[in-house]
Amino acid sequence: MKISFSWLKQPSLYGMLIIVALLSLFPFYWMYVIGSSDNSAIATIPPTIVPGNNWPANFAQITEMFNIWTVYRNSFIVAAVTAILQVFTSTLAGFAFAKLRFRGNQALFGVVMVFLMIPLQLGIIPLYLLMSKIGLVDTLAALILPYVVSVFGVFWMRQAMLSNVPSELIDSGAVDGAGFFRIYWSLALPLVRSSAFVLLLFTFLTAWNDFAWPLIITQTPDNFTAQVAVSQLNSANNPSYPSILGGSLLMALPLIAMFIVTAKQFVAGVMDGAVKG
Amino acid sequence: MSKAIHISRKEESRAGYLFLSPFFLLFGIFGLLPIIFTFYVSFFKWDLLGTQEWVGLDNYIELVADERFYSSLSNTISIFLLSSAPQLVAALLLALVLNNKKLRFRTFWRSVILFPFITSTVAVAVVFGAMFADNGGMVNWALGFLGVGPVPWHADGLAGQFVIAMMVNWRWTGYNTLIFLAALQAIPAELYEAAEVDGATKLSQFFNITIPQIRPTIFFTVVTSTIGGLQIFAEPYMFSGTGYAGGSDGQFRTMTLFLFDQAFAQLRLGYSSAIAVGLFLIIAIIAGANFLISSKLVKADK
Repeated sequence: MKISFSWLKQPSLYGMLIIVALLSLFPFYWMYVIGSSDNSAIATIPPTIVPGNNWPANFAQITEMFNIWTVYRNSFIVAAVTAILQVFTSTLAGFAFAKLRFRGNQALFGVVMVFLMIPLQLGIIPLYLLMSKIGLVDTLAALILPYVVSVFGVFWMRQAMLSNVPSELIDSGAVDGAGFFRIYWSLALPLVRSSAFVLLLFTFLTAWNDFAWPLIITQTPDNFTAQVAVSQLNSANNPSYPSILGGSLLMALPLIAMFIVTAKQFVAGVMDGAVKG
Repeated sequence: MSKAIHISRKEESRAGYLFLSPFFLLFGIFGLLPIIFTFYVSFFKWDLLGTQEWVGLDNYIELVADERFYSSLSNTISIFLLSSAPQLVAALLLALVLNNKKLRFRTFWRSVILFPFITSTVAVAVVFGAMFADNGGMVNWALGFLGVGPVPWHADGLAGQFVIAMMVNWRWTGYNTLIFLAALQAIPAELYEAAEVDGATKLSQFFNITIPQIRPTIFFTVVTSTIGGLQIFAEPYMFSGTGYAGGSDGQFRTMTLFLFDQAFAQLRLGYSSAIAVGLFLIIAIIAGANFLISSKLVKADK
């Protein structure tokens, strides 16, 4: 575009971007450097910036604190189930808001927009009481249930339905005698799959990285998720930085892999959200 | 024929309500009800193990006299100011850079700056806590060359709040950059062409075209970073190394840490609910003020 200040000409432009890229990536690299070194690497002068060869010992120390595979499994179950259910409830409601005619459609959507402003984390105490009442404290179900629906998800999928699903398609489907659920499932859903996929990625990411709620609702190591496990490593009785940073990296690896594969969709998702929101 | 359409209309509205019901039902139970119930619990002396006693406004009376409430509020606002403003300015500058038409490898740069966003707040806190170690940390080592420090990042309140703000900045700057970039790309090119014809400088184009055009986006990012920033939890929790206490002197105790401490360490659910209500009101006031200002400005533009 037209905005290009004179100091942003080629060499300094790329120089600046390279510095920003290094700042973005360095903490990840450094997790690996410290995670593969011995205890002394954290405090050397000058700082250690090349990887060591202490992975096996550090890895063993991490596995003493918790079972990595159990934690991976828990986080994966929670994140995947949350993401799939949230995409389902959001596309269903988004379809209804965008494409179906019924009394109160506008008013109900207005209510949803108000919900968007509510800081839900502030209801955490009654939510805990509720989970304890229905006997779900220290279960994976308690980690999933509060996130099965999302106000943002409904908002996002309604936009996608509005801009991608032509109304004639609905009408022709209705004349055919197809049920409305079938119209949603086989006609509308395929047309919004890229937006739905972005929602799936974001929900998975958010659920995987969630910390406050799993911290209070899980109690036994069998139910720990990735972030709770890392916070356990970081407790006062473990002064070993290699295991803390190595553990953080291990718990971030699935997301790093996911991001590398889907970076394009991630970027597009954030930018689309900005224009629509 | 007309009968068939009539039936399908009826079915259509039935389907509409049916398709919305999972969302409204579950949001009601797990989102709205807990928020409303928070207000209710705040009028009780309510411990986690079950004793409940109506105490009226006692929790609120205690809260307004509680020094920790004010210190946690000021810690939260301090971290929020150190993170939101620099982050949004940096994001806007970066967005201008990335908006350069001649830039190559666009997707690569955009992906790289978004990369920190996928890290958990827990991992960010762990890494930054190590980089900003008080003794032998790499930041203090680097500052040594400038003749500064060593800075007691973990002991000093303001220094530590700066580190916590840096974690937020690192994680969110790229995200906000892409939001701004999308807004920049939506500005009609004719506006700049006309200004060019009139001989306007780049700087005056920036202030007279770019900023007014992306004003709604600026307010969107300000509101979202406010609502998020005031609820900051994982970073101070992990960085302080003292759990809910938020540092040896509570120097990193944010509003949310205070809430969690009273609820899940002191088991005072009534009092912590009063804290939640207080935080709720503060967020509502700030978000409301943002909203009023932005709608006024948008009107002024038109």
